[in-house]
Amino acid sequence: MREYQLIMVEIRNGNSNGSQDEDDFHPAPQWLTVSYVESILRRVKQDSELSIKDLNIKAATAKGDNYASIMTRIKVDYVRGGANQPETEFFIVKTTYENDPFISNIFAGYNASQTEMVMYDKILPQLSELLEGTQQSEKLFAKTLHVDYEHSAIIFEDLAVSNYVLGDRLTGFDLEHAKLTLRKLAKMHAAAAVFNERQPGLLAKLDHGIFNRHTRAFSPMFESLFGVAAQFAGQCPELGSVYEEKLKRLQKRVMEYTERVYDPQPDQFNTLTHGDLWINNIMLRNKTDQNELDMLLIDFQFSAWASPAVDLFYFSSTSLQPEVRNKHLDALIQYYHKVLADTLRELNFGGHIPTLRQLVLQLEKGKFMAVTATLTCQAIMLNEETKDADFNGLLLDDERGRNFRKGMYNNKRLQENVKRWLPDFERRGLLDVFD
Amino acid sequence: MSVSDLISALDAIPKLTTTNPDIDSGFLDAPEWLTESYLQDALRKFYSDPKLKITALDGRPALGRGENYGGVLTRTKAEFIRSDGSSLIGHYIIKTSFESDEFARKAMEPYDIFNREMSIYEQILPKLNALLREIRDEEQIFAETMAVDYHRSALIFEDLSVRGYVMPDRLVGLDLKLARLVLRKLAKMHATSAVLNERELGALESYDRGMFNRHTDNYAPCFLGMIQAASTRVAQWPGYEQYAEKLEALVPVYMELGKRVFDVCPGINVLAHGDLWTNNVLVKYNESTGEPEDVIIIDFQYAAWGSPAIDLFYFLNSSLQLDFHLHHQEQLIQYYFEIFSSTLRKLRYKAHIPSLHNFHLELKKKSFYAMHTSFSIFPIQRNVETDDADFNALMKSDQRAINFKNGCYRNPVAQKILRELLNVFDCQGLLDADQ
Repeated sequence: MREYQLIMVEIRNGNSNGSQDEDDFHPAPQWLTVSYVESILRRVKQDSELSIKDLNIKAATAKGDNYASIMTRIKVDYVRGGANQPETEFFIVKTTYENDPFISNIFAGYNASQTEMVMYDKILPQLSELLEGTQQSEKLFAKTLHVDYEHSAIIFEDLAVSNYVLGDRLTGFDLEHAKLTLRKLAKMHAAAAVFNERQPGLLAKLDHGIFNRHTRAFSPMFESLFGVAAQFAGQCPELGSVYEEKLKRLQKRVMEYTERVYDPQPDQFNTLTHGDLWINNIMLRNKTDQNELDMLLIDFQFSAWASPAVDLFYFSSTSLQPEVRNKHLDALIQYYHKVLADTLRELNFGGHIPTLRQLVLQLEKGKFMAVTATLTCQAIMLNEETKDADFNGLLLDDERGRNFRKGMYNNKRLQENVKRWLPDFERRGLLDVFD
Repeated sequence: MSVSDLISALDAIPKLTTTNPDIDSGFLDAPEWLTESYLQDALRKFYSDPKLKITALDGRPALGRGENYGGVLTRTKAEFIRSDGSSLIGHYIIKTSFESDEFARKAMEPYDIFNREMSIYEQILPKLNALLREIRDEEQIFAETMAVDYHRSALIFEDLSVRGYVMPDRLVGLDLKLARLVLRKLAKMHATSAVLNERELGALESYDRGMFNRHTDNYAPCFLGMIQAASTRVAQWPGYEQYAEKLEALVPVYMELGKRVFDVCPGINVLAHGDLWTNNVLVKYNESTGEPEDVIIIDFQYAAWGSPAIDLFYFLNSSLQLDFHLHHQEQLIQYYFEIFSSTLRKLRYKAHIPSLHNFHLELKKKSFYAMHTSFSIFPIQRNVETDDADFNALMKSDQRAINFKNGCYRNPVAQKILRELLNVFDCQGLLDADQ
């Protein structure tokens, strides 16, 4: 969600990569000094003689927003103890800037920054280590340098240096990119299930996903977007009043029905979900003569222990080209399952590895996630009207907010997609209020 | 319940004599006890008229090769005079078992099809009718029975062809209108059976000998032979080799997977027809418009207590025109479910009625049956090489039987279904030996 804010900022203020004045950016954190960075590097490189020759700090987040992840880029030139040759590494320092108490309260309710800190500090490195032992081991995440709980800061490698960029959220992924995402996801899910065996109960503590049993602070956004979808359906010749009625009635059950998808079930395969898996939380490295296409997952504020249905439907409902979603989804799930099962076996998972059939049945149970993601998350992610695109616009029930959300449904791609998928959901009874 | 009680529900009294008494008093291919005197006794009971006399009798096999593997059907026309002097013509279908064919009789014995059918016609169907009348629903679902003879394993029905009911062309498949007519009847039959079972404390649960059951594997040569023939055909298609291998690998587990479809699971259960396809449905077309007006379901040899999926997947994967088979099953299930659930509610069914989505989930657990019907049953039912289309060809494993089965897959219609659905079922894990 925060990345969404960041994207909006980029669009408003132009390219944030250096064509602007230093004053246009949030200042870098004051505690980010040479000695601070040096002590971290000494610990991580296990070299107490290491010394920093130069520290170049460059703010990366533009001013003018109420709430964002503040990204600071640092370039570190250092020399190891007893060495002559200097080495250079690049990092990103991610902190939060909370100007608006309304919004910062909401995010606090979701434990968003704590979750991400724990992920980068204690979990992702462990998952990476598990996977390093596999035959076709590959990198899934940016490497953590340091997590500073006191300053709510995460320092990790700067992926832009290795040519990782964001994909085009307006186009969506083609089949090749979709498969690669699911390969990475399956390995993360497998590693997490195995990690959970070795440290039981630790991952289950992460239970503050976007839909959770502790807070419904995002509910105005989801419920009102269902209302907008209902209106759109009512005016759409291919859909009509039956859909409008159903979606209107569904508004007040959206939160409950989606939260049920997140509730871990004892007789099902549960894992650590990414929790916010869409195009803008995936860094891409395009294929060149020197390297293959690659991807890394970022942004773990909403990771939660739940069914893989959460990630699979969230991703497929927001991040695929229509052709891929409409024709290849079942094959993609089959592919995901193969990687999941193979990785679980390789890691000697002691629990039950679901058969494809069992996974398909489990996903069908969690299908309501696809309804929510299609009607609400997708609307947000495809939106091109950036004037009022901020959290107030998403959450507040004022005229500005209502107009903004209504305007989202003017998006042609969204409309086509909703027209294509609502009848499918309706036939399966997914739009019915049954309790 | 006595035969005369059954008969009192009959509404089709044979018409008065017209022209051209086609007098030919021989029965062809019928059992030797099926004499004029036997039928005369049945009619005397029916009309409570001990002086009734048959003046002419004409019998012939009712169905050609390839149309019926379940017994011998004899169509009879009888002219008779009652004691009040009135002259009538009656048309009947007489259904008897495989008396003369020792192999068939032995193979079918454990399925107990004739006793099952008789007890259903004598005891169950009239009660289902009564339940419909209870809620003032006058719809007719089944053919009316004239007589039930346990001793000789014979059933005598009114010949519905006289009222304009005909069998639809099994090679063409049903369109949506016809499919809905069938599903409406099926929904009411299922609903009333669920209610009957509830009121009679589990009386229908002893019907446990469907096509797959936990008592006998006698159908295995048929089903496994068909799957192997399918595999042989598919192996010849470039790019389909992996599917051929998967089909072959299913053979050792195939019967077990089929039995699981018929195992009674938590959820809503009904008395399934067990063999619901075009040849077990009679259609009345409007004389002037040619539009289908009504359908009657016949032939309850394979009735079994279990999931509605048994009938729904069998019907939808065997009896529809191609486009609907591939793309309209969900809509049809939704249509069925509306009638099914509302009939249950009207009859004050006490147990839990699932939501449409949960009903889908229950059905999906039995999806193996959709694959089985599409790949093993459909090719038999659409077979056009009928010279050797008989019980032995289905149930044996000799060269003649193998040739017959291979012939089923020479049919381009069967091949089309395989080509269209192999990938679909594979993506859902339905071709995996480990499901």
